[in-house]
Amino acid sequence: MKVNSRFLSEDQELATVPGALPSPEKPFNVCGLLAHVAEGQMAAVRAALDELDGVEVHAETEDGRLVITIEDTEDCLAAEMITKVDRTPGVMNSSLVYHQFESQDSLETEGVSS
Amino acid sequence: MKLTRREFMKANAAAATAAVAGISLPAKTAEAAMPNTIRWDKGACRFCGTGCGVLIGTREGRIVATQGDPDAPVNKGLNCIKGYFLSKIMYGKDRLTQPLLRKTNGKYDKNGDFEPVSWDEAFDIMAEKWKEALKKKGPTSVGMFGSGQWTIFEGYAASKLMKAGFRSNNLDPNARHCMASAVGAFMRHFGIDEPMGCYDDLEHADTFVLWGANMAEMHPILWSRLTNTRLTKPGCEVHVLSTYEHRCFELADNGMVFTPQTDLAILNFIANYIIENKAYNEDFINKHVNFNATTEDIGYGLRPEHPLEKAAANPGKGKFNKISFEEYAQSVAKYTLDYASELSGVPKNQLVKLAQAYADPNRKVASYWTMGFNQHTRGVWVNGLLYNVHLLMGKISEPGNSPFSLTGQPSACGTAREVGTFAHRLPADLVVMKEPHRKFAEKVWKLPEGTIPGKPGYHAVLQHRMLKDGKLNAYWVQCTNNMQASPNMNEESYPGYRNPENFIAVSDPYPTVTALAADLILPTAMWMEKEGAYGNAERRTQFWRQQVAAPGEAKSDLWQLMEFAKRFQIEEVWPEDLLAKMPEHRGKTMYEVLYENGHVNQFPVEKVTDHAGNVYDNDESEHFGYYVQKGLFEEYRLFNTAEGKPKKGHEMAPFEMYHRARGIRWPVIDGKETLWRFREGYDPHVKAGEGVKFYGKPDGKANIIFAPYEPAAESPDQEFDLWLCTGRVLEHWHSGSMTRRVPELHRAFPSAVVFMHPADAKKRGLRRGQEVKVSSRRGEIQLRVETRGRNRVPEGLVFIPWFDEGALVNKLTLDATDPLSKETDFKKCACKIEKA
Repeated sequence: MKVNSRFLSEDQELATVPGALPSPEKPFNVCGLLAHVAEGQMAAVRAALDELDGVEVHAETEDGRLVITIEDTEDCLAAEMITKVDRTPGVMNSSLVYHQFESQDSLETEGVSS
Repeated sequence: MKLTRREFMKANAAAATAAVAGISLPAKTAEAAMPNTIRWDKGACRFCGTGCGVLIGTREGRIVATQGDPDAPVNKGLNCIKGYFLSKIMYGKDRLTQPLLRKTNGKYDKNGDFEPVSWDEAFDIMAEKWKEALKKKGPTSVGMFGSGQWTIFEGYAASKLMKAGFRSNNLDPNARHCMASAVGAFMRHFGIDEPMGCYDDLEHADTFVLWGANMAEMHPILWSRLTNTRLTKPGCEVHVLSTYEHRCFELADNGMVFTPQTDLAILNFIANYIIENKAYNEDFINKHVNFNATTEDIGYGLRPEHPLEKAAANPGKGKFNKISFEEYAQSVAKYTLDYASELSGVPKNQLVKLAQAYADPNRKVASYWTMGFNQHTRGVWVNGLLYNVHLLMGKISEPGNSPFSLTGQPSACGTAREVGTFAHRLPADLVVMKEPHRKFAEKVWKLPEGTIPGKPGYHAVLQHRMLKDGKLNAYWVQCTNNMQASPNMNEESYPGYRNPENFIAVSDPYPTVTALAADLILPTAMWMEKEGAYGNAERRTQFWRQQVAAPGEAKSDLWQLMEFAKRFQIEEVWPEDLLAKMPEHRGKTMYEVLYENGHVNQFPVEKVTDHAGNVYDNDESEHFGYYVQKGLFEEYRLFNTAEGKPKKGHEMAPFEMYHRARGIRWPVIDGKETLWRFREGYDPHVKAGEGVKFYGKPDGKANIIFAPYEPAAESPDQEFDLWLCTGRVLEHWHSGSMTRRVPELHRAFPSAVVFMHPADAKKRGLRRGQEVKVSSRRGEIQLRVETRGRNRVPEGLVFIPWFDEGALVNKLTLDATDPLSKETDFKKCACKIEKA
């Protein structure tokens, strides 16, 4: 952990202060993103998003908005991917709607009935 | 159908997003997103002053999900990227869980190392130091620094604790660094704080003007509403002014980069243009406006012995005098197009285009500003000069015509401003300098006359100077990272904290720079770990219920304030003559006098539930034995309802209403919120036939106040040849104490960089990414050069964000403030850059 340590004594450099919480489990993130696409760019944007790992388009509205989910992958965390999607040529504006994170261990094992 | 948790999460995300877009998903996905084990409840975002509604998803005592609240009028289901941090900010791995005291050999020692202690031991030593200071030097030797991130309840409890309990006005919030100039101008021009308009103006205006606000990165949800209007409304225009190009310029129809400080001249030029073209609204100014001129040459809020203060003719003077319209016209006549263009560096055609937007009677204009205006040695003036323009045209207090001061913190309005946590203020716009205001506050608080001192206390910057000078000795900081945030850290802040005469306590969830510079650290419950309330920039008050428990022994600021008050017998803090006026208080603790006063403790503990019947904890009520938040709020409400109240216009709804609503905008009259103030038909305080009434002023008229262009406190010279401007980036909120603890955000923008023009870099033989030394007359830091990217600075100016505790830019900044608002100018000082 990286706390600013300039006010601690020498031997405490980079040490966790006493009483700090232990490291949490490594989380897995899923986000729901709503992106506005410029007129006439829909096909190009969808093709570009198809290339991105962990990104899935679920629906398209009549006024040019895309319902997208983004999940963590080995190479790219969801937070970084949000920025990539936002910068995709043809995407005018994007807003985060939903975010959930869970411990990675529980992901594939736990069944949920619908 | 069985789904893995991963598929289930994705289905939830898709369904929630589709719902906000107003569409339904293919059956399979929609089905999957049916009932789940997450409990959802409404909340308010922890970050900026926009005040977005968020739904908080909790499972097994942890917040695991958030989503934009589709029922929230502010954001209508959307969140910005900061929403991504929300569920994570409480779970940083160095979260503090017990009090820490500097000790050597088992005893408190200012030069010792931090060791865990019990709350009892923490408050014992703290109370001992407070009592020692009070005994030696009296109430002016104790003080507190608070926050626009405190809940409304916390700010109110703190205001009472300091001003009535300790009888010290040395209470100031970090909003001093942020909003004080805006407040100063509201009071001078309208006699009542906070914007007359609301966010609905984002859909009503024809022209938007940004004056020193990077909304695209700092208020993204408001920016997306503005963008939507710009793209869908025929003829809509966006003007952007700044001292460097930022993201908002991408949408600008008229983007202008001006020389720092010359916004004063540009605004006077616009007023001059309106008058020369006889475009002003004569009927409006005759009926609703007084003309004035302010005292000039007022200094820079530095220490009195500073040469700039000695050279000023009227240091710190805010007096303004009535003048005629003709005299006002003469005053602005000097600000011709040529003069304004030459001074500001903005091409003439662009200035004219801007002036025309304001002068056209058929265009509705909304102006927005944040730190560019407020962190300014003439911050009150520059806020005021914009009001002058809107008032000349009568473009105010109606849908779309709106000068609007945005805020940077979630409750700069609700907490810092409305409940009176400034060194000169009391709740509901009352001030300590006025005897009738003090008397009214004492009556509401059931305290003897003369309890509240009449002299304003030390403001933010002055607190650090007084710590250094040994006049302020017992000091408590809550909910803010002020060591990192305050200017001139090397010469004032750090020597002040480490002065051996002083004892510094800091309450925070994390070991911030401020906490680590203190003597005692108190672990704090944050955000959804307590019941809370925030007030956003459009006067909207929003409540939330406690969603989860705080880790370890962390306690809310509210618990800390009230519990600390138990450590004092009232005889230890009040003199005999004051006690003699209300002998019934003898033998009580300060806690009993302030909080068990029949108001704050009047409501029994209740089971807190939502409409679905879910039950929520309330740790403070459980501990103190009554509904603490409700009692505090209902007592605060007396400032707006009790007989003999000195001011009207701040009316709040009863406590329960807020737990049911998605926020309510004050004044709330007969259960109804107010969208536009001061205009008949919108504001119930304006009677039929009155049209417009600025009722904050006794004669119902607003002030136009002329103020001239005066130069910045420090400008580039031969040695320090660059302007230094500080600010923020999208990924990190303010000092980064929360956002830097989210690993993926830390990865996205790990360290501060210095944004520099390629030509300036070349001149100094520097390449992009190279490590450099940036220095000012006060200190130096090292960081890397960025010549590309989101911020494109002009030649002669560099920009450094202040989130990075590894490159503390406030070692460089000058503690020059607006002499009227006492707010620091973090946007202008001189620096130089060399190879490291």
